[in-house]
Amino acid sequence: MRTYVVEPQQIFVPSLLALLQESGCSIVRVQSALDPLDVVRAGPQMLFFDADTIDQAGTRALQFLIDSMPKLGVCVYARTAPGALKPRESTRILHVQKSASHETLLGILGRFTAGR
Amino acid sequence: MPLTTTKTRIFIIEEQALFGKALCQLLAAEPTFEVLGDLPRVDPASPPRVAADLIVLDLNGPSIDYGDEIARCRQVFGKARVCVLSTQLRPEVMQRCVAAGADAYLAKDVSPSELIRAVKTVAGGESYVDPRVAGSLLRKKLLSDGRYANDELSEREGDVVRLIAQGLSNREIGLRLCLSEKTVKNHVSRILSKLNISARAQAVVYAIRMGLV
Repeated sequence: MRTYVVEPQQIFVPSLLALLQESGCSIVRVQSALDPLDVVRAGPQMLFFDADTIDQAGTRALQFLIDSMPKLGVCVYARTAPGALKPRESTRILHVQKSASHETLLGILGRFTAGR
Repeated sequence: MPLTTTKTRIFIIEEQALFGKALCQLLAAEPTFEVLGDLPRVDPASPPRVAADLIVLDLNGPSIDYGDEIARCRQVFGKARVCVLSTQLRPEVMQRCVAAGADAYLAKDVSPSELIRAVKTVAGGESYVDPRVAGSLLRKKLLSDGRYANDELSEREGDVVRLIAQGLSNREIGLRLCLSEKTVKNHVSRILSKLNISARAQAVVYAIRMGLV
């Protein structure tokens, strides 16, 4: 699954990419902030998004992508479920908690990518 | 006689499991560091049996009390230096952490090389603050002619905090300031958000510390 990653924590990026690749994702791009037009241009099948540093503009950008790319799967990686993001299609939007272990994340991501 | 080098023994408190492992890997690769392990949180009831020189402490979340967390860390790890990692770039959060005993304050999007530099600085007995946070604090201080402690709050919000500290309800504050109860409620929400606190009682503590009452 072609995956676009938005993760501002540079220290974490290598571990995250290894995890995503282990769960069957191929990485198309890694950015530290969400640029919706860049996501559209890259045309990924999944957006992996760290939502803990998101502001209102980021939430709007994410909603824009959810609305304008109906086949895009979105994996929201956050400490707690972000209330601002109301998934309309639960099969498209996955919330992954940051407290989850490597094995748990691998299982969740594997099932999500396999189901799409 | 063989040369001996003393490594800095580091323990990591990080709720984000994968990030914790990434931190362990990064710091363990540095020859002058020895990573003793990591835990998702500090529990004084069952402290880890490690003699750490330095703690890397992740502090995040809307309801967290930074002072309490750092105090708990100090209780468990004694004299170990404390290096706080946070997603917050707001200088007042950094100030609260430093006031509570943190030796360093870094944003979580810091680069690996900067994190290592910061940890080495702190291990050497000095303090370290993320330059973005320090710069922001300096700008605010210059703009406010040195009065930066409570200038986060507007004059009206300062009035509300003062009245909260006197034990008044939102309704009573509204009557006192000729505002509707809803407007007072909005002020209270903004105050809690600006001060990064979750309860009126913490606003009272803030008001006392700032000399507002």
